[in-house]
Amino acid sequence: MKKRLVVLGILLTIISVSAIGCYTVLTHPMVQGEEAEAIDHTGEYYREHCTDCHGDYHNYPYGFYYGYYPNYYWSSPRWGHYYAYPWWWDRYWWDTGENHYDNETVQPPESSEKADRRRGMVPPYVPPSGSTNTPFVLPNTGTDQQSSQGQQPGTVQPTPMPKQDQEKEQPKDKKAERRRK
Amino acid sequence: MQRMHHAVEITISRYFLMIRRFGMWTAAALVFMLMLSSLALAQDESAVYEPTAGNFFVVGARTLAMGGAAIAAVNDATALIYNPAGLARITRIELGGSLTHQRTGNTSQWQFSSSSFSGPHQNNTRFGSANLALPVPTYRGSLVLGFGVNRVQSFDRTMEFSQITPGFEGDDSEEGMESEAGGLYLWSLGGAVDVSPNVSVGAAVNLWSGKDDYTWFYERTWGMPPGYVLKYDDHIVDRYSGFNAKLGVRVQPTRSIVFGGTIDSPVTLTIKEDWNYRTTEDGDVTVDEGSSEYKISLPFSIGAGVAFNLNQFTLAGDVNYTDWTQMEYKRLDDVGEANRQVKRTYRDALRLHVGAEYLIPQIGTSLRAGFYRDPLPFRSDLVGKNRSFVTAGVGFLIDQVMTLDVAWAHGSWELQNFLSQGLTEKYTADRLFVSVAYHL
Repeated sequence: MKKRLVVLGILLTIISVSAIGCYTVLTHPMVQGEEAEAIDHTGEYYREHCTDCHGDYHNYPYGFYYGYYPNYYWSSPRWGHYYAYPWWWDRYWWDTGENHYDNETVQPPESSEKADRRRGMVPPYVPPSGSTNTPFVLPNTGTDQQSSQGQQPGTVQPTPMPKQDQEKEQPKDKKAERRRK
Repeated sequence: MQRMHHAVEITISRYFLMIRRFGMWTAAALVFMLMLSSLALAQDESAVYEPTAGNFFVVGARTLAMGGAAIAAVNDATALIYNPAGLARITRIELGGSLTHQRTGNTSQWQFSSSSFSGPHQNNTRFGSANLALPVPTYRGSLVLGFGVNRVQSFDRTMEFSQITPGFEGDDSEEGMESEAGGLYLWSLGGAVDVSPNVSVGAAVNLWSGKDDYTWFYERTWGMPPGYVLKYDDHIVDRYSGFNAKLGVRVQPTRSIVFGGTIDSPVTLTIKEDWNYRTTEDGDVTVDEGSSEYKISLPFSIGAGVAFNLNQFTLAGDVNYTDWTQMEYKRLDDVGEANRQVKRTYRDALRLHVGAEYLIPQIGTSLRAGFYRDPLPFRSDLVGKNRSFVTAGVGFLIDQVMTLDVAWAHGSWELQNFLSQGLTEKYTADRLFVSVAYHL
């Protein structure tokens, strides 16, 4: 019995590792020569607009997945939210879509690994013209509204930029410097 | 050694023993109707009953409502049971659970009797499943881990009979009741990953665990000599444990079609058994009791499924094949005889599942219906009517974070000459499942 389990474990590990290498990617791959411009204030590598590289990305509102979603996800987005909207794109409790960061009693927490990761994984819709912010799907919408682009499920709104982030100077990019060495 | 011998006689040939103990008296009543030679032949061809063979209990209300068709259509954490590759389509952390309620009924009839006897219904409410799916954040593709416990087999049933046989000097009466309760749970740990845009693979490792509580009560009273009574009151408890694995693949070549395939590895179950036999004959009581341990190996099982997604409408179908003649007892003194009985009693079986789901997005409701045929894995002369179920159900999406599914199924089947030559056992079952899933 133990021998079987060991063989099974090894087999599953090999399958899992090779399978992940085939297609599934856990983090955005590094792009040579773009590190400097794609490092955020925590030193993490990211691309704010994945559409810079992936022009058709807005066709996949639930992520970089080439699968198929039923049409009613567009008219009734709560189905899409339940079955297709990745949990790591969720907004935080303080981020209700209203610019309430002026309120001193409600402050976003300091940057953490989780927060940075989630921010980096915001659905990369094409920003509305004239906007410099990344739009996102409002997860708590239960209405049948169409997006501003006319094809994304859910309501698309500009991302509120935390006030302190706007005022704060970008920290020195030590991680990028290390990479360049 | 002595205990092991008992294990063979009592558990492996549990029904065989019953036929011998119970059929010898029945023979007296049938002697006017049957040739002795044919009766002896029938005794030799008695059946072995192994409750873990061909006794699948559907998991999850959505799947039950869709007739058990899930290999390609599964979209929740019960994919651990049906097709681990289906886990890859889960994008949110899912906590799910279910309760099951089953009401079984039975009717018995002797071959040359015009009347039948209906026993009492047996109701069992059980914990059905609890599952957790944890999608790992990915930039592209999908990687999902799953853990859960699911009740995959149900032993719950009752069969009762009663008859009065006219004798030369007074009537003989006999009555008996066979009652069984319990089931098998699978503790599963699995995962799935996208290996291409349209192909997912998955695997699960299962720990089997469960219990079968079996009682057999039989009482016969003779007209001559007056007041002579024979009574059996037997109790057998089996505890099961074992490991196996399940591999699955899910392919979605086009928008509207999904294919799925699964392989269940063989499982060797270790059975720890306690028995207690109490016999009362003309006022004298004898008790025989003991415990033993043996093993049974259940064979490979192969499944395939397809689902057609036409926007709000889904049509799904599954087939699942198992050759039960490959089932094998191990670690018994009389293992040769036990396995010979298995090969004589069992055959291969192909389960068929068909189901449909129509979704009404505006009101967050799904309507479902289905049918499945789950053939009894016994040779054809022991089966009067194969086991089949019609199913229906409804599902609700509540506030985009929770689903509530309710399903009902009604089925029936019939065994003949199984417990005893000339006895037909008819069973009905109504199942009600309620499932809830919450997406964090």
